[in-house]
Amino acid sequence: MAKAYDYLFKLLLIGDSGVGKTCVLLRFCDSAFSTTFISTIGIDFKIRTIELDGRKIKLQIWDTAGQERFKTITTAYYRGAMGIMLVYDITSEKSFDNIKNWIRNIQEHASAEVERMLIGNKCDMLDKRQVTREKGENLANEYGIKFMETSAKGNINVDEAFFSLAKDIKAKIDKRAAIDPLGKPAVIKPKLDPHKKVSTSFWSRCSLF
Amino acid sequence: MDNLPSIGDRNTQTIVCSFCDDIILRPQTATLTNKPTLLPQMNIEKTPSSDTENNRLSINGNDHVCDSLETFWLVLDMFTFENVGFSNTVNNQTKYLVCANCERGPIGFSPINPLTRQLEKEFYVAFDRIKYK
Repeated sequence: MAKAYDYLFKLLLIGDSGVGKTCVLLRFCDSAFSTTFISTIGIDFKIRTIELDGRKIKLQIWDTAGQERFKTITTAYYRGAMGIMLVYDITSEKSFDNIKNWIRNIQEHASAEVERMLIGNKCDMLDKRQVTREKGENLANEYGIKFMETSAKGNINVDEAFFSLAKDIKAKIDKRAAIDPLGKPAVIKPKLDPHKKVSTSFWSRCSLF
Repeated sequence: MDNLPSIGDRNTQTIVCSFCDDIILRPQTATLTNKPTLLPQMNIEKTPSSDTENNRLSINGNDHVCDSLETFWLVLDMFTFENVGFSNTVNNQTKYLVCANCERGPIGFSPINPLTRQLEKEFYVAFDRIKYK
């Protein structure tokens, strides 16, 4: 049997309450689906497998699960995170303004090497738009990170956003491996026991369990 | 499946969501296991039928009608899954598994160690709640 995967990335969704993070993770937030079992309990995280350049990548995607109500997200939540989606709601100026606070929170608690991406969600609600696309792009440029507008409800750009973030993380790892081929393992391979923690390298800390 | 698998067998086909066909497990990644379990029904019924009176679980204060299931595909590493969603922990003892795409479920469960609150690294996918491709 071929090995199960080549890379394993832990990704986080961060942003204010109500920006639709849960919808990005939970694809259907519509009332039509509210009678399903999971809507009463909520999703903790998902495992998704994607393929990039012929390599299999496992994504473990976490939502903040209401922690953002306490305004600060603890270091524990950021531990091992390799990518963060900063999500705001294009119909809420406030959620956009708060992105700066979230970036500060990330700088304080997450690894300096974490790959970030800015997401303007709810782009299907054009009539209620408060944040222009340009404003989103400018903020992303200011921080040197990628930007995308998505609609979790309309399933616009959601998969693309995850692909883009995964691609950037992979590029970073591959680059590092090329510079330091004899260094610490940059890629978590299943045979190396993904549960084992190696504290010396950021990239080897990407497994939780 | 052409031939019904036996306990201990590996899955010969791809296990997919019975609603949206999203891939859950690749062939040869899970082992058929006998694990009698009450699993909440996929659709929450407001007025459950009387013959299920005994099959109930209380989750977050609500009664859920359950099916009594015995046969599950067992996986020992969560990253063996191609795509899957994990619910929040229920009653400090279980996380339920759902389709990562359409989120219907539970298609299975994973026990939580009540002391450590960590997953036990046993992931059960209900034989009756998935299909093959």
